[in-house]
Amino acid sequence: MRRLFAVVLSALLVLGFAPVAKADIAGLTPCAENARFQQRASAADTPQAIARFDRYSKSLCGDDGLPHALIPAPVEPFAMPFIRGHEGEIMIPGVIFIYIAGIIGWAGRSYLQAIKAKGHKAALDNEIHLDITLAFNCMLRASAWPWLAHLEGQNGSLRESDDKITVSPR
Amino acid sequence: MRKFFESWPMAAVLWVWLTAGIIVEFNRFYPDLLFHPMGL
Repeated sequence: MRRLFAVVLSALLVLGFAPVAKADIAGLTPCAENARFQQRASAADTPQAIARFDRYSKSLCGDDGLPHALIPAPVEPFAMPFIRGHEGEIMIPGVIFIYIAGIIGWAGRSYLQAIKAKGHKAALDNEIHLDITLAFNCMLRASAWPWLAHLEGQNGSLRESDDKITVSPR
Repeated sequence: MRKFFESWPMAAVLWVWLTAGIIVEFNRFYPDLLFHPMGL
């Protein structure tokens, strides 16, 4: 029963008080209302600087008068409502970053696997003199890496079997 | 000549050159992107 009360209380705290805190997440205030930010913005003289301060005024500022990026909790979907309007600060760029990093990694991995299948000599040669057509196709295919990784994870070819992994003598 | 440009050091130089160029030009036309505009 005590545990239930604790759960209910924390649920109420999360659901009831978090929207109040939304206007002032982590002690941050909207840049448009931040005195130091406004002071800095009034010093802008070029059109580019004015446009920049206009855009940044939509984000949240700290006491230093500088915009602060909000990091959501991507592993906790229920935290998403609390960063509404701030997804563009870390979450969307973060997802784009992971996707592009995945393309690079998957393209390299599939290229190495493809040249390995050509035989030892060709594999050695193609590591130095790239097979551009093959590399380009690997890169195109790698744009579907989340799906391909899922498929390989399902059929077990994503990981090498344990008996093929070398270990130091012990 | 083609084999020279397909060697990994040359391919790497051309690749980085191209990528850097894309990023530089993107930042010229869309400067000061602190956050992704979709989130606002």
